[in-house]
Amino acid sequence: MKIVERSYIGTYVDYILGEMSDDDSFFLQKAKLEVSGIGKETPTNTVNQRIRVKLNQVQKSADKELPSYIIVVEFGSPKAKIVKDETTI
Amino acid sequence: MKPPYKVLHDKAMEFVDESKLAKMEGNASAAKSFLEKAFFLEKEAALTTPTNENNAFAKYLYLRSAAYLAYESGYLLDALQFTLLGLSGKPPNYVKKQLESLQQKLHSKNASFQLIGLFTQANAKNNIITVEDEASQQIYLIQVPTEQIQEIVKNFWSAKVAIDAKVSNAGVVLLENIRAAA
Repeated sequence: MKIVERSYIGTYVDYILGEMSDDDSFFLQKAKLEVSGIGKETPTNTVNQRIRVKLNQVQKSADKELPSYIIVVEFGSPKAKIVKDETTI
Repeated sequence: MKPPYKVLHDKAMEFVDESKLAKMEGNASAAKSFLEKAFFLEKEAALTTPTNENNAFAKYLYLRSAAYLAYESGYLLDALQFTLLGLSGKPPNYVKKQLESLQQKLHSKNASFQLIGLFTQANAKNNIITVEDEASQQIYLIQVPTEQIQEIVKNFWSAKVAIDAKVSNAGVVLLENIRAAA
């Protein structure tokens, strides 16, 4: 599974995970991907906190048609964390 | 091999990236220009993506993307028309929610707009006049009141006009005021 499509929606980008057809002419969508970033972690702005915020957003807007994955990148260390939304998978 | 509409869409997304970079660098006019370019490419991508089972999901993503790009670029009529086009089919639920959210934003702005351009055609049967916006070169079909169409044709035919218009909930452009452009 890889990023097969991205599209514009105002202040953020909507990423779709899935598989491309053999001839690259269309894709089969399998999940949504939410990407977020933090410059440098602080006690009040951590990767885990951001993950919780994004999970909350995903669960509020979830349509249950597509599962969601969330990636938060911290650029200070740097490090990244990926989680899947268990309510949609 | 990528189909042409996918090439257009990918290029539109590259311009979105360029727009974001320009914005981060404090170059607001370049950011706006890149976003407009992205909109025109995405518009073509959305309109030319075939409507079939394989492409249905992508088509709705492109329609939503075109609608948001139009909105952010200030093309409110296009934003509303792409929103309505997306909602007229069967978009995925989360795309539908986002389109409905944009529709509400547009209605809260009252979707009023102004354009200046050449009054090129009139259809007396349907009370529609056609004006080509000089800024975007886009053609607008504008519904005018039945009792005014003859007078509008008589006074403004083939002239450069300034128009105030409003978009109805159904996406129809309604004339509010027309005058000769300076």
